[in-house]
Formats: sequence, C-alpha cells, structure tokens
Amino acid sequence: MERALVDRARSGDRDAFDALVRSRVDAVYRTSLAILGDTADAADATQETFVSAWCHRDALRDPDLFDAWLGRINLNACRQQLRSRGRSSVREIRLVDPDDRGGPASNDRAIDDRTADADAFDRAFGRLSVDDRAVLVLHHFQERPVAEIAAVLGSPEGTIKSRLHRARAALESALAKESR
Amino acid sequence: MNSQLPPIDPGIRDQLTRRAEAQAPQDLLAGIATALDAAPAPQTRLRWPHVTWRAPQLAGASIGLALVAVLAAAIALPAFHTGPAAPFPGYPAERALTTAELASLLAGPPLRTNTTLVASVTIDKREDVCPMNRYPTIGIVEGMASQVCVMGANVAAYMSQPKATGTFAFRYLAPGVLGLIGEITPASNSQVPFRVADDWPLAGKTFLVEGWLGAVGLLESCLAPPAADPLDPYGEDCPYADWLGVDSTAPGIEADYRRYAGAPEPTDDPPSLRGNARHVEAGGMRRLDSINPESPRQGTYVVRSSTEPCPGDPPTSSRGCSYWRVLAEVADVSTPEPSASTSAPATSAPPETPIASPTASSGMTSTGLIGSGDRPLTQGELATLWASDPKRLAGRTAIVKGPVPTGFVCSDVGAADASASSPTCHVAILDGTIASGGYWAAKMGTDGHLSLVGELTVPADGSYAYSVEGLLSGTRPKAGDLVLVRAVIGLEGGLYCDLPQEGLCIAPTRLGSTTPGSSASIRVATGTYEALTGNSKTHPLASGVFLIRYRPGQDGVFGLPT
Repeated sequence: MERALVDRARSGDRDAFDALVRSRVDAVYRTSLAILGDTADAADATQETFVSAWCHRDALRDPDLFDAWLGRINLNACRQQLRSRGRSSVREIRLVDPDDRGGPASNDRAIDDRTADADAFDRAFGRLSVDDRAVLVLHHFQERPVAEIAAVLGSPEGTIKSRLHRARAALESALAKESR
Repeated sequence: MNSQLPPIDPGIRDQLTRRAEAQAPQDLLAGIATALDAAPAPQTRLRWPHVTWRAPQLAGASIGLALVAVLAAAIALPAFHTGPAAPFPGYPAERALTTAELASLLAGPPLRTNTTLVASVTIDKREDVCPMNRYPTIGIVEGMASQVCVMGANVAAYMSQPKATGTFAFRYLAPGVLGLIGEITPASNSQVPFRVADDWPLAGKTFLVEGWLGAVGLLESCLAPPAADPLDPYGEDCPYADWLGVDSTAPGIEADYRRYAGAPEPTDDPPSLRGNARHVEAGGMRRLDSINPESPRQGTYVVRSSTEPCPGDPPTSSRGCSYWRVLAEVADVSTPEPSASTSAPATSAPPETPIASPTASSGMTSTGLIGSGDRPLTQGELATLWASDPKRLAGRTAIVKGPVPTGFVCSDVGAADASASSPTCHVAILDGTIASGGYWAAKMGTDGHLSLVGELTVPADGSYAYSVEGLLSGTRPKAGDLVLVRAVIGLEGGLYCDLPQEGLCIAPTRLGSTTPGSSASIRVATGTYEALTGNSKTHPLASGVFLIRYRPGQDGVFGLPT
C-alpha cells in the first residue's frame, strides 16, 4: 500500500504525494525542530523538504527507500536553514510564566533547574554541526537503525558508530563549556 | 535497539524529545500545498561526485528570502574565428607573441572576449585615447596596424615612464582594446613559462606556469563569490581547492585534505610543492575561462604570488603568508588566413552602440536580449538584431525602451520567409505600438510580432539593472514587479548528493552579488540554475543580467546581508 503510494507520487500523482505529506509532516517537523531548535526554522525546513522531494521525485529509484531519502532531503533543508540564520539576529528564548507556578517553593527550584538544564542543553546543542546534531537525533531520539542513519547521512554504515561517538563527545564538551 | 551502536542515552533522548515536542503549526500543511502548487516541474536527476570533507571557508554567507523567477539572462553574442588558421610555433608553451604576431592576430576577426594573450611589446603611455568606463587608459601598443589600446586598473605601475617594454599578459576586451593583467617575469632568458616544480617568484610577481590545473572537490556549504574583475580575478574557489600540477592528478594535494578530514583547513605551508603539485587559488579565472574544476586541464597559466597577513596574526605582525593566485589561462591562438572573411547582414538600422555585452556566461543558455551596459534596446537596435537572425531570436525575451512596436517584417522582395535567416532582409518596423514610454520586457514571436511580458521597475539611480545589494537594501520592489539584476547565478550548497543508492541534489538556485568580497545573494526558484545553464554536475557560476519577477515568500520580506 505504502509502496504503491510512493510509486504513484514518483510518477507525478499529486494526490498520492499529498497523502505522503500528511502522513509524515509531523515527523519531519519534529525532526527539524530537534535539529534546529526553532519553530519558524523548523516549519521552513519542513516545507522545503517536501517541495524539494516533489521537485526531485524522479531521483528516487527505490520506493522502499523513500523514508531514508526524505530524511536526507530533510537534513539538507536543515543545513540550508541553519546557514540562512545569518539573516536574523532575533532568537526565541524560553520563558516560564510565574503565574503557571502553582506549586510550593521547592517546585519552583525544580522548574528553574529543569529550565536551566534545557537552556544549557539547547545552547550546547547549538554549538554542534548539523551532522553531529543529526546523528544524535537519528539515534538517541528517533532510534533509527544503523542502515537508515547511514543512508540519511550519506556515510558508510561502518563509520556511523565513530560519528556517534564524535558527536557525543562534541556535545559533552559543549555542555561543559556551557556549565562554566 | 541497534546492537552495533552505543545504547540510547536517556538524558539526551529526554532533551531531544523536549526540543521536538511541539506540534506542527496548523497552517503548515496548507503552506506546503501552496508551495507545491507553485513548484517547478521535476528537474533532471542530478549526480555529484564523491567529495572530501572540509569545514566551510566562507562562514556566514548572507541569505535572502525572496522567491523570484528568473525569466531571461543576458545574451552573449560570441565572436568566432572564421576560416582556416595557423598556430604560432612555440606559443604559448615556450615564448610570448612578438609585436608583429600580435598585430596580425588583432587585425583578424575579433577574438572571444577575455581571451588571454602574452606578448612582448612596447606600451606607449597615452591617456587621451580609448575612453572606457571600466578601466583607465594605460597607453597604446606600438607597432600595430591600427590603434590597440591598453587598459588596466593598476595604471600607476606602468605609467612612470613614457614607454614600457616587456612581456605582458593581456585579456582581449574588445576589438582594439586589451586589458593588462600584468608584466610577466620570465623563467629564464630562453624560456618564459615556469615549470610546476621550479622555484616560483615571490613578492607579488606575475609569471607563467605550464602544467595541469585541477581541483579537489570539498564538502562545503557556500556560495562562491563572483569572478569579478577579469584583469584581477579573485582566487577563492568555494567549494573546490585548486591545484596546479605536473600531471592530471595531484595525490599530494588530495592527501592534504584527506588528512584533515573534519578539521578546518590544511595547515601545510600553501606555497610549498605537495608531491607533484601546488595549492593555488583559481576560482575567478576558472569561471572566466570556463574551466571545469573536475576535469584537469593542461595549459599555460598566468599566476601571481600574493601575500596576506597570516591567519591568527595580530595586525601589527610583519609576517606574511603567501599563496599563488591563478589569473588566467593563456589562449593557444592561431593567426587566421587572409582568405577568411565575414559577411554582415544588410540592415536598415545599424546599432549606435555594440549590442549585447559579452559575459562570462560559462555555458549559460542565453534567453534574452539586452544592450551593452545593461541598456534597454531601442526599436532600431531590436529591429537590427531581428533582421540578422529571426529564427534564432524567436521566443526570446528582449529588454526594450518604449515605445515598443508591434513587430518587424522583412521588406525585401524574395525574403518573405521571415522565419529563415536571410542576409538580404531589410527590416521594416510594423505600424502601431504595444507600449509607449518606459522600459519593457517583450517576447519575440516567430512571425516577427512582439508581445509584452511586463514593464520594468528600474533603480532610482538612473541605471537599468539592480545589483543584488541594491535589490536587498534599497526600495524593495512590490510583489509582481519585474526587475533586472546583474548577478552571478549558482547553486546554494548542493553538496549533499552522494546518497549511495542515487544521486540527489536539492540545492536552491541563488543570484549572488558581483561585488568582490560581497556575499549578498537572493534565492530564486529551485531548478532555475539547471534550466538556464543545463548544468547540474559541476555547478560553475555564470554571470549575466537576469530578469526576475519578485514573488514574496510567506513572510513577505527580503533577507538582509549580514
């Protein structure tokens, strides 16, 4: 069923492609958001992903590889989105509304700690290259098999482990810098 | 769980889950549908070579958000040699042209613009000849049959004496006009070019090197700067690392980049010999001379040693870092036989000024017509062009100064077939106009009739074409406006296409600034570059004048250069 849908989309069936978009838009958006950390950028990257996939649909030869192929396109879109960030100096920051803190004072500290942890993680994650971010997202968040990670990143399967190790080390180093 | 991979880290998973916990915006699906409706037809499948890895050289290239459609590019009317030709023995691999040979060459049919020549001549200082906007006059070449002017940006270096005699590298700019690249330091009394393995001159010298020019493809994300000044092109070559070698391969250079995979830059001393090749910078000249970076080319190249402050050094440091910049490939020209001739079509309205400015178009499909200096064509000029080859111009978009006529027709008896190229066509302008004042984009029909594409919005400074910076920083056009932009066209990134199963490239097309050092650019419709250049694998930049229609993106704003 899914393969038939991809086949129809490849041949230019817009309805079929729209169905693929509907079934994957949330996943692509969340992946983009995990990598980029910005809702507007993630939305742009998601749109670019599907438009590019549609424009280059004849580049997909094996329908069974559609998701890996789409993941690759999504990663490219995230790269381009990050490069385009130079256009804007406005960054969103996470705010905690005091009125939402209904619990006791000890809970406030817990919220503060979690917020601080999240901000530190986001800043540290923002120091990583897109590929480092992507390999961490694909493995630790999406739990994708190594073959799919390799296809999305365009790397041999044998190097994914070392890339994960390198990305993890880069993240820990960045976290250490943020905690100073 | 993947047994080969490290275990999932709950801490990282939780943080990434938090980052990704938002739902897709409600209007995202609708936005995607709208974008898909406007998306171009699928492009030819693109394949890219495997590339090595290097961190970007150009950080923070500015990006614009404008979504525009490229409709036409400036036409470049090439001039070709006609008739049989004889080569100059020994040139350019061993010696320079003599004054007599240069005179013979320049007395023949026009050369292609930017053809590079090396000649031993005397330049007579003159400032009162050959007015040209782009370069000041240095002088004229002695011993020519007709006046040959020498222009150049660096006049002072050659104007201290009434006459300068030596071996010079020139680019042919126009009939009777040479642009001076520089004076050539010869390898020896008997040999002009250096070999790759020779000790090359330092201290800003310009010299020739005989060898193979190639490049290592790099995994970078960047929009290369424009080729800029043909007499002093820039060197940086994103995303390639150029080399000049003894052979068609350069394993020493490639090893430099493999060794530093994932690291920012090679730390070797750039001027040193790396195996059988040297690192050089040749980005601008390769575009000017249409050299494919992935096909090493043997030739004789004009090289200059340049020195800049070393990376990381304080401004007060007296230390300098040298590198080699390739400025041009010397043309292996031939002298035409006297029997060669050209025949110009008879026309009723010869143009007042040269039509169509040649550009470093790098194989770009010319789909438009515009006057020199990006000037809209007059009725008479357009009629002249049409009369010269109606069939070739059919379907093209011309930039025309109003009033725009209904069309043209061949008025000669026996030349009724206006769809065929006819040297006897005496063109007549049809009665009536389809537009009066202003500047217009108009499409040429096969029957000689014109149809309007739209009226141009022109810059406030009296010029006709915007620069990319002007488009980004000035009064922005309104949605639907047609504007001309002088720019280079290229692909953004486009280096992530080595999916094992199939090649794939989704790089958007960008128009970049022609200003040296500027990274200003705007995005145009994806696939435009491929459609205009027919080029998908090697993505050299192509320059020209582009007619674009401004279609604001969803956010409706331009991005501004950083």
